[in-house]
Amino acid sequence: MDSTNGALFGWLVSYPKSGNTWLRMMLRSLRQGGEPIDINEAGDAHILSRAEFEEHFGVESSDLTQAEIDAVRPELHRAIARASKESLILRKVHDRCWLTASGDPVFAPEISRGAVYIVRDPRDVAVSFAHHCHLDFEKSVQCIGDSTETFAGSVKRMNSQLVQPLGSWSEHVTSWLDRARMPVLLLRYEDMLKDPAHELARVAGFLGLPEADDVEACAKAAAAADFSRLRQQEDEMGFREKPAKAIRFFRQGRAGEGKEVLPPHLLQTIEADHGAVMERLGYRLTANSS
Amino acid sequence: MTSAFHLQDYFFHGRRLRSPFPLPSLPLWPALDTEGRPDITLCFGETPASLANPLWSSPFVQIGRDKGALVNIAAVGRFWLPDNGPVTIQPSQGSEPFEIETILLGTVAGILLHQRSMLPLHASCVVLDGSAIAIGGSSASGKSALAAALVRRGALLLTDDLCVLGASKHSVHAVAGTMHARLWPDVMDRLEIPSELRLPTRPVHPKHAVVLPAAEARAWPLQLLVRLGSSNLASEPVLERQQDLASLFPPDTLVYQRKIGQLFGNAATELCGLTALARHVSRYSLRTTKALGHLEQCADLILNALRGEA
Repeated sequence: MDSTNGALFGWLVSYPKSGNTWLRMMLRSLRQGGEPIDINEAGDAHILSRAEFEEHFGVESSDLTQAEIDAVRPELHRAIARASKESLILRKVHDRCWLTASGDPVFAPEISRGAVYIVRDPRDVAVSFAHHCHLDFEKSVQCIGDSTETFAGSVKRMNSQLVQPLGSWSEHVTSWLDRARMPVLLLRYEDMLKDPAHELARVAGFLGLPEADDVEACAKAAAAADFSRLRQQEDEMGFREKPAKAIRFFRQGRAGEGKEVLPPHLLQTIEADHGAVMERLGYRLTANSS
Repeated sequence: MTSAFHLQDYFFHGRRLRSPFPLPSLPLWPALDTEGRPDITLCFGETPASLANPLWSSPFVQIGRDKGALVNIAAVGRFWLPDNGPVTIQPSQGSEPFEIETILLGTVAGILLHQRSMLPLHASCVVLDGSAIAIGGSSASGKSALAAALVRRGALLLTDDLCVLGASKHSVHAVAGTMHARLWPDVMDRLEIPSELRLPTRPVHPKHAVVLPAAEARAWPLQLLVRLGSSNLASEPVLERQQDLASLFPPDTLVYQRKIGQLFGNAATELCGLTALARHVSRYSLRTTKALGHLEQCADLILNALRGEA
């Protein structure tokens, strides 16, 4: 991939609760030479906000309908790219890869260096999503199987983020892996747990970061953003990205919890809904979902 | 829309605005003053479809090199704001009067105020015991909700979302704007706003304009500026008095659509206003979670601060 092709965005993409924030923290440390990080430091690789929409478009976003906002999402990304003085803009993304009603790709290839797609076993996602959104497991499993699911999409309250269409977990995965029209690096959460420094170096290389070949910096960054350290910082200082209802953001961060805590009928539902994509990604099916 | 309505003068952020259609969100211009001419006139008519070679452009707003501005919300209409002359509205077919008012008193009002070299804060404001309290913050930070919670505790609404400042040598005043607060369902339910007081802003939109008890339409001495920072760092809301100039930074979230003010060359106006704020107004930061359960607690903290300042 040519990093001098004028593309600007490096999208850090995942379904919610799949390790996106963890990766952002590793990258934050890496770009500071592997130094310790403050999880509450603002500014890098954040998710698109209403404030940005309003700054770039000069309009009150809450006076617009959802359809009016959705229609100009591609142009918003272009406006951010035009206004940026950076060669690479890292952005966290929870949206599935989608098109506007008129067929424009929201994540336009011509302003994208590529997308890092982090995938996590949906059984673990369901558990983590339940804690994050204050849902019971039943509802959480229903959400990750729902084609109409959105993030920050409540019509009851205003959210500082724009509404992000998710689709079901499977649709989310395939939208990015099969239809992104840009280079996509697939990252498995479970591999990040096994060897975070190695996975971080892959990401850095993919994004064309100068630190990509610095093995020591990658190791230091992975250690600086070790899950236990993130959790400890949240214990001591809180985390500004934690939803109000969630007890904590950095909870367990391990693999395999879903298979331990979800009741059999929900494991069956997940595998029935997502089995084909799970197998494609190497997540072994265990429930009898026939 | 205009057939049974005569021209009416309204109090628009301290300016006299003459409208050919009802604007129920704005206070009426004092009836005793029948002689004066309006500062701003609205009319219906043809507008440019777009501006040629604009100074700045987005899908919704264009600012011309001659300081004219065009706001275009396709489903609602176009609003043409020449540097001098009446504001012309060309409604889209089928658009509702209330949504024209929504765009007019939101995005269009902000641009108009900058164009007229006024300083609009991105703030809602209430009056209590003769003192104005401005609550500033970026979109979705909870300004309107907190203003409504303060009204529930006896304050009167002075303006929502856009708060024009007037500064003299020894004081800063906040000027009356809209009498309706725009609220989302969770806040309306929390504050037990009856359904008959919830007016639509757009045909399909969860946010409603809520009629609240309003302060007299004039300028009131601004006692407190509270800047909202949404944060989940603290489990309980924290209100802190701020002494230094850092309390006015970043101005981008304090001044409404600051970039547009800069396009109109209003840097001096902004500097004068912020300097006056620093000199004459007590400034606080309020860090709170988005949890609605904290709304009343935040209102109490502000009221305690106001009493402490008295």
